[in-house]
Amino acid sequence: MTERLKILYVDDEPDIRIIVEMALGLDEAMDVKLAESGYEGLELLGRDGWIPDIALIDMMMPGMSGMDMLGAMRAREDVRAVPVVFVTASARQDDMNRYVDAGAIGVISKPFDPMSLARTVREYSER
Amino acid sequence: MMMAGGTPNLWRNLLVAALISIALVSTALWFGTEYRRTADTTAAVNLSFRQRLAIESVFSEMKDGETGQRGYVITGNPDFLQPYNKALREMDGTLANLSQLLKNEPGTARDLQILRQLIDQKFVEMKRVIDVRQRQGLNAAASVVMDGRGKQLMDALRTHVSKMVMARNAALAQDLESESNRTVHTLEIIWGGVALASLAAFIIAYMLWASRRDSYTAQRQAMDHLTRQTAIFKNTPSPVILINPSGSMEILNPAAEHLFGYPSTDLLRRDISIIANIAPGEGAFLDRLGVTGDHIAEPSRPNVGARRSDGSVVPVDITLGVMPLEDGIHIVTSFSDISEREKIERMKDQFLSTVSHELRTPLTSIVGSLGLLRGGVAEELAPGAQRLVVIAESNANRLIRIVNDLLDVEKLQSGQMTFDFQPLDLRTIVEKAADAMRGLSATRNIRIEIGDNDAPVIVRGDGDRLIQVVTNLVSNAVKFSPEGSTVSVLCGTQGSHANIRVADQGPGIEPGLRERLFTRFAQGLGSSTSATQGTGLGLAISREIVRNHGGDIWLEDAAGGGSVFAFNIPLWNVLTGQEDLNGAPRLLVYADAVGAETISAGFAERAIRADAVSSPEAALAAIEGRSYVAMVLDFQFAADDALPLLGVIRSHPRARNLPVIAISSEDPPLEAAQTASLDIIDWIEKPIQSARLSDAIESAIKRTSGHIPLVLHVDDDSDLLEITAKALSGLARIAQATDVASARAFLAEHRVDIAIIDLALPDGSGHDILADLNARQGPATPVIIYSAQDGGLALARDVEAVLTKSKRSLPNLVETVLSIVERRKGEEGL
Repeated sequence: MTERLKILYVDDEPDIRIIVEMALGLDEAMDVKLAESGYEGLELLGRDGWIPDIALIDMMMPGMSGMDMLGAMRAREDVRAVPVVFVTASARQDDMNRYVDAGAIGVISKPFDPMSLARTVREYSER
Repeated sequence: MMMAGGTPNLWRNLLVAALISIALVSTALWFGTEYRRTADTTAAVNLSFRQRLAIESVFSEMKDGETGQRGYVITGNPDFLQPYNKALREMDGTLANLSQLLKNEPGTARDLQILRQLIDQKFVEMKRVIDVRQRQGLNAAASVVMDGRGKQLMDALRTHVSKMVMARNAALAQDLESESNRTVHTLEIIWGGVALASLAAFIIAYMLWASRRDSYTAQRQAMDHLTRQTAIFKNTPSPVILINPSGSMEILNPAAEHLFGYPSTDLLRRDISIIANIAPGEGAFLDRLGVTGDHIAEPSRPNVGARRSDGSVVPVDITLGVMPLEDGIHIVTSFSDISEREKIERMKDQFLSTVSHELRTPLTSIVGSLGLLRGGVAEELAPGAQRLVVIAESNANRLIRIVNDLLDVEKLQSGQMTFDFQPLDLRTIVEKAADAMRGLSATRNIRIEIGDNDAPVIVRGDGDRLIQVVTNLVSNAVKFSPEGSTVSVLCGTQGSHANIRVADQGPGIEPGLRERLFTRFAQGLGSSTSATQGTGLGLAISREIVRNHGGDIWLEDAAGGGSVFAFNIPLWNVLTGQEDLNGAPRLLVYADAVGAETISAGFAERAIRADAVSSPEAALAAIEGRSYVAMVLDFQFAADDALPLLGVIRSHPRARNLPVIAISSEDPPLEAAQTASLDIIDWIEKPIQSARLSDAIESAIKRTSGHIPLVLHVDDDSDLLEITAKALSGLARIAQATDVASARAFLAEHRVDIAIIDLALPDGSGHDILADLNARQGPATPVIIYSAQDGGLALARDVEAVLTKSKRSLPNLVETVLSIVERRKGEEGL
């Protein structure tokens, strides 16, 4: 019996939030919370004791970038250990390397295949 | 710069000058002759005058004498006789004088004789009359006078003198006449001379003028040229600086002053390094710059930082040109400010990145929505709707591929793509790529066939990128092949290169397209559905990737239609860790970081690479991974570990024969016997003399390559080849061949020390290779027959051993090789 997987998805694009929610909804054992900015994401983290198993964060967001949010998370005792996967529309390999160097456990590049997104996320969570 | 009329012709001018001189000298001689003649004439006229005077003075004296005689006759006064006596006294002298004057005149002797006779007769007559007057008085004398005798004589004398004078006059006139003619002639000559001199003067003047004109023309042309060049130099927007042979700036154009922000006077005679360090290092400026003769090694120096007067640095491309002048090679340095270009490059990067992001974000939504729709997440779609969603999704995906490929091309072409180079087997790459394409090919019933030769083809490359290339070629082949046909992929070697060929049975490539096939968006018309449609960038990307691997990609005509796309990449030799067999040798340096740097400095200029290690573990790991030509060991650094380290290293099969160069500040702390057993080939004292170290490495390299025999292993069983290679690693360099043809090709170019040959080969028998080996000159090559066929064959003269695969294990083979190597070492005294 798979444990229910708690996921935070942060993206400023409402359309993509909807698609991600639907795509991850294909895996019935996933609980997904959505945030439209880094600020909102940081608020959701730890609220009512909710700590996700994995956080998917869009890299390019106005105001607080994914990298900024990762930094903020690392500065907080309660969510310091939450694994982060960046979601990015950049196709640059060196960007990807940079993200991993910054402490992300992986990078999902946009556009992604919605039908296999849940599987990919679960694979990351199991690392 | 050339003179307009060319170099003046010295010989022509000398000839003209000589002719003019001859003419002038001749004229002068002529004048001399003529002058002498005129002087002669004057003398002749003088003589003639004196002759006539002398003739007339004779007559005059006679007349004076007669007059005196008459006066005496009439008066009886003896005083009157004085002229007569004088004439009588002086007549002989006067006549002698006349005779002297006339001695050269022809026909005058007789006239002179008659004159003498007449004078004598006259003197006799006058004497008689004087005598009569004295003795008989006036009247008797008068009657004597009256008889006319005296008068007759005087008349005869007058007539004769007159005749003589006239004769002289006539002679003079004749002389003068001829002289006059001569004078006319002389005048003609003079006029001729004047004319000649004028002509000469004219010619000289013309020549002077012509010479002046030529030099003036040349000067004017040079001036024009200079004006033109100066105008170009001053007005070109490219900054240009002329540098003298010692590296100082000589001239700057206004564009250079503008770019660097100096007035030119501030920079003149100062070193160019103030602006840009184009010639680093030590030595003469031209040497540092790489100038030999009037050739410059690197005329283009792209992206150099140039300093301006305010200290800021401007990126420039520098082009150097050589200007040979009298006082040495000057350098024309032109600068091209590339800060704008760099800004544009950055803008382009930013733009592409933005476009990429901005396109991907909506595409993510589109592809995501369509994917979920197609997956039935919303609700099951009617078949018609499903088909439309598939079309939309595949097109959206294609758009994403185009964006990705465009970014790839840009990155590759601007050199921003990073490659992760690793030794890898190209065959597995081909298999992976073919596997990836099987889905697509199956839908069109196209078979992908990989060549039957499955020996590993090792190259150093980026696996993901190479898969991208092969996938691209195979997918193109599949797309353009008719249904039911075959796409074949061959992976092999060609000389020092791995060679991959993808052949299809499609329509081939139209000639017009071939030229630009590997450029962007060069797709042919009529490709199939959107699902298979490419981006038109695949070949451009493939070419860039292959070139980044040091290879090339090209198109060939396939026999019987279709096309063959092929590419090659340099082979990688796993044993030496070098590209092919001829790469740079590698040294293992056991020292601390400072020591390693000092040691490396000793051979920095040679194509030797060094790996520095500082622990026994690292040394062993390095030996495990690579072959080295020698190990340089810092004894001070290794200290007490040195001996155990050498012992451990020697126990590794790859390092059994590794030459060791020991570096120490003291005498060898080892016994001679130990040194021999550890095979230390040289001791080098600190401080290290780089020449000595270099020599030691050189001899180590020679020794290493002498020690490691080259073994050719021919077998169609690739597993066996690999196992054998592993077993012999460190003992021998292995060349592998899987058939007779490639074995023979290898033997044609290499001398192998040992050949291991399987008799049953796909394209013939191992006996064919034996025949080749036996036909060679020089010492026989030892051959080991390692075959499934049993012995008892009529074999060639130099087969060392016949091992039957089923009966003898691999260790037997290795043992046999070792024994041959040992024996040969013994024979050669190594």
